[in-house]
Amino acid sequence: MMLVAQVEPYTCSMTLSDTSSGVLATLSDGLANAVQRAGRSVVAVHGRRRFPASGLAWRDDQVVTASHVLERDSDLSVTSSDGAQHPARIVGRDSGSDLAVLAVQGASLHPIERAVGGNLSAGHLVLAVGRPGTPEPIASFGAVSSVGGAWRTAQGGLLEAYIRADVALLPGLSGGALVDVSGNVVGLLSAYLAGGDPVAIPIDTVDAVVKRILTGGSLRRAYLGVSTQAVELQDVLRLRLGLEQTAGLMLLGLEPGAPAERAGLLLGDILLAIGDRTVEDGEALQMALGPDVVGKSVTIRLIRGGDLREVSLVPAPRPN
Amino acid sequence: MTLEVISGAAQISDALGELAREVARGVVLVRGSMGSSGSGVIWDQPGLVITNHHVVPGALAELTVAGGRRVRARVVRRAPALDLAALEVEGSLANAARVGDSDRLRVGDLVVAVGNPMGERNAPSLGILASAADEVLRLSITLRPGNSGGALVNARGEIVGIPHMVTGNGLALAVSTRSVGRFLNGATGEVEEDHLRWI
Repeated sequence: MMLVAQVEPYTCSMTLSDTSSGVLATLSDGLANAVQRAGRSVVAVHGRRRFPASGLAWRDDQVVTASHVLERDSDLSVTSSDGAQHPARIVGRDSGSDLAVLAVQGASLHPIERAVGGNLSAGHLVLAVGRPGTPEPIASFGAVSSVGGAWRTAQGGLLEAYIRADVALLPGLSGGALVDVSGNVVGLLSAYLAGGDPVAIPIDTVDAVVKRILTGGSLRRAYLGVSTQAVELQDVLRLRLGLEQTAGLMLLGLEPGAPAERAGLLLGDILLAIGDRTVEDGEALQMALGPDVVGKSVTIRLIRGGDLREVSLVPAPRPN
Repeated sequence: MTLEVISGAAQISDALGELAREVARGVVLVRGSMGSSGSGVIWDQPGLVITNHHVVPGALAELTVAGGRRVRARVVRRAPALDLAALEVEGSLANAARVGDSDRLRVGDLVVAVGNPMGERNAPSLGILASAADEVLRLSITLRPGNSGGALVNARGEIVGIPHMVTGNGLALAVSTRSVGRFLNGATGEVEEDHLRWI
């Protein structure tokens, strides 16, 4: 039964001016083109039981994705934008920065086009583009909320920079691209690094981590084997020792056989600096124990019995 | 920042304002007979308003059109599975929406929802199509209760869907105009009343 057949076309009164219609149509086409352009380089990554996640074609036979979406080490594959599925294997991964590199032998992927110039700032319009096993890419839209410097991820990794954006996290966007309105990639999305908030690792930072993964460099953070408590330094002590810093870290525990104990550190010692980094709180200690100091001799400055001391030790890689 | 950038952004902003105002003329506030409320769209056939099934659980509804006039409407067809309902009013309503083709939307295309979220009249929300257009449109947009049954338009101000469900933070679904077309052509839905005067 026809509900509304044989009715004369009704006169519509909505009159959007040509200018407005043109301006918005141009913006809309621009956004859709950006999604299509970036989408050529965004692949589906099959590495977990639920629906697939996304990844970026880094080279024609290499994909970079979020490490947390690879829930298994074997039986991995990627689906490229032309729908072809290719077996993949893990070349390396770093859970601290939530990045993994996959080799996709025999594939001819379309590598991402990176945004040039680092002028991305709060307020810029961005799109999040993924491909969780769908023929067409998926996308969400928003603005950059902030672009920041060195930060420690929820997984204990240390990253040089981050981009926060108010893009909605569609399921399967992790490992996908954060792109500018031209479709150039500005970052790799992770729903994991910041506890479920949308955050992207800037593409230059991804590049640095990928290089370290590919050259086999250690991404494991350094480890001393201590537990500490931040303490304020008495003024009289600071004056006598000529210290500018107002706090240090008192050793409350030493793991037997770990680098700190082996170097002769004692309970009650107050750590002031590791190398040339002062440590006034636990956060500063974490920042001082980056992958760069693993296996290298560093000088630790401390207060013991009211006197300044220096002790050399070699931090170990953090046990997994 | 160059003057061109500023004026380009201002043009977009002005255009969105104009679009929202124009679309709002064809959006009505719907109060269902069982205390529900939401939005509805004046369709491009006389006397016809499209809304969500869940906005009008009963047989009757009261519509508030642009300008504040209230009119009574009755449900003449509904399709719970599509979450669509067709309302009929006595006579006809001015300011019908322009109905577009949801199948022509591309992922990333700009969409604007205009409805009555939390009772606020004709509030626009900006977003994009989040995945390939289908019976249901997946959107990256922030909607709230009361947007249901309202207008989802493309950049040209044409209706491409009827927002009906929030699925997550900044994520929502709309029934596509493809589905509305099938619904109106009788391909789906249950007729609420025996005689339909517009046949």
